[in-house]
Amino acid sequence: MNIIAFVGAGIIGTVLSVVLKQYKPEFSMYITLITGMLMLGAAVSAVKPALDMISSYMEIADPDSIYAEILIKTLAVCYLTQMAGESCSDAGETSIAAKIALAGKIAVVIIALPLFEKLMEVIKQLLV
Amino acid sequence: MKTAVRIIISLLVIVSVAVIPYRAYAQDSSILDGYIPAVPEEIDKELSDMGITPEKVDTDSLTVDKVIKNITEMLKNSISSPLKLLVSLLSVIMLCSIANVFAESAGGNVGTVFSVVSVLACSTITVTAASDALTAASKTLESGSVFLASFIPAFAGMVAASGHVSSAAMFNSVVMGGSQIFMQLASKVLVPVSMSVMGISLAGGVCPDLRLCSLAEAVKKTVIWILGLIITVFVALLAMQSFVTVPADNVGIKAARFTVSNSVPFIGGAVSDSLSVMYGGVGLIRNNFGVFGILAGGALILPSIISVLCYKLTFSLAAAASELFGINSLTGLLRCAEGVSSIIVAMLVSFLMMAVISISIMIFMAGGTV
Repeated sequence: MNIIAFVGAGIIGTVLSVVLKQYKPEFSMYITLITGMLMLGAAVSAVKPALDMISSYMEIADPDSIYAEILIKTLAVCYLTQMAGESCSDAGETSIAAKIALAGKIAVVIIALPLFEKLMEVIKQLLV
Repeated sequence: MKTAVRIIISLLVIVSVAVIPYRAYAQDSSILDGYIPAVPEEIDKELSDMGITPEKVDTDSLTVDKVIKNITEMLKNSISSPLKLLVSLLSVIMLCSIANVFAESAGGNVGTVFSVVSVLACSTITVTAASDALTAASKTLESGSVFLASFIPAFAGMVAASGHVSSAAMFNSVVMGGSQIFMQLASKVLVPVSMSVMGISLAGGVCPDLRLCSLAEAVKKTVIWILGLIITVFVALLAMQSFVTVPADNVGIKAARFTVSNSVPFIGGAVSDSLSVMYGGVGLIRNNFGVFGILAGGALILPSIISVLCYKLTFSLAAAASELFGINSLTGLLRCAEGVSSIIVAMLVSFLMMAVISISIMIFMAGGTV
């Protein structure tokens, strides 16, 4: 991860957004969105090797394990939802941001359903 | 001339008897012919390969090197699953820490949502492992109880045959009773309590505000106290009864020898001495058999203790890693799982101690009298 490029992109995006806000506020929002997406993409690509490593470790520990897939998918949904929601909030659309957050939570519940199922099996074992 | 020949023949007989080395071996006895130890086949085979059978215990297989080597083998066989569990737990902890880093920078509820899912994943992994360990320990206790149920009456018979009739009756009733009480307590109280602690820790992990971990810790301490108390009472009872019954048996043995010595004309002394030799021979078989019982009990229960200790270490390491990364919800859950492992270890160790101490007391008490 090139931190200088990352920081530089952030500062340039901020300056552009602030300058454009005075003349063309609608373009300022685009700049903010694009900068945010690029930075998130860069951060995620930087984290990807770590996630791959963790995933491979979990597969070594238990090849049939569903946990790695579920956890990484959940993490991705959380970040995407967070980024989209914050962008909407920055644009003043808090209502849409709330809906995105709700959709994100539902998506997390659906992804984590096999986990709930497995937990219920364990609880049944504990009760027997 | 005749007298001289007789003297020479007598001298030859005496010298040949003195020169030929002789030793008493328990393996030649037929007392244990019908006894089959109630241990799993593989343990029986391992013990036989090491020269440890009910009839004879090969002392060469009890050197420190060999014992350490066997324990290391057990450790190697037991460590695979706990290591895999540790890798899984550390992976979840690392994912949580990554999520926390992003959540702190974003300032939203990403961390909270992901934390709940990760706790669920970690709970499932942890509780499954702890539950499996508990089930395995429960089965081991059951096998140990079956072994004791077959071993104790046979050993009590040996003790009775060596002249300690009342000690044998006391030993049989106290140890069989103790073993049964322990089994009932383990299956009816301790296993359900451990399961409840796991359930509490699960709820505490998902909802850390409830602070249920302190309750689980209190249950763990109570169970360990109860086990300690049971073992103390059991050992005290056995020792006190032995102090009373063993001298009574000794008086009985000495009275029998005295009666034989004085009532049988001419050869009374020889018969009395042969009685001592017989008691000595039975004592030798009894001690071998007792040591076999201790070793078989150890071989039966020690692998489970080592396996659960490995799980305990795994949970402890994972809890330390979780604490290091500041993931409190997982730390509580893992500490509770460690507590459950402690309860299981305490149960297994108490059972093994009960068997080892009771057999040792009988060997020591009855051993020094013949």
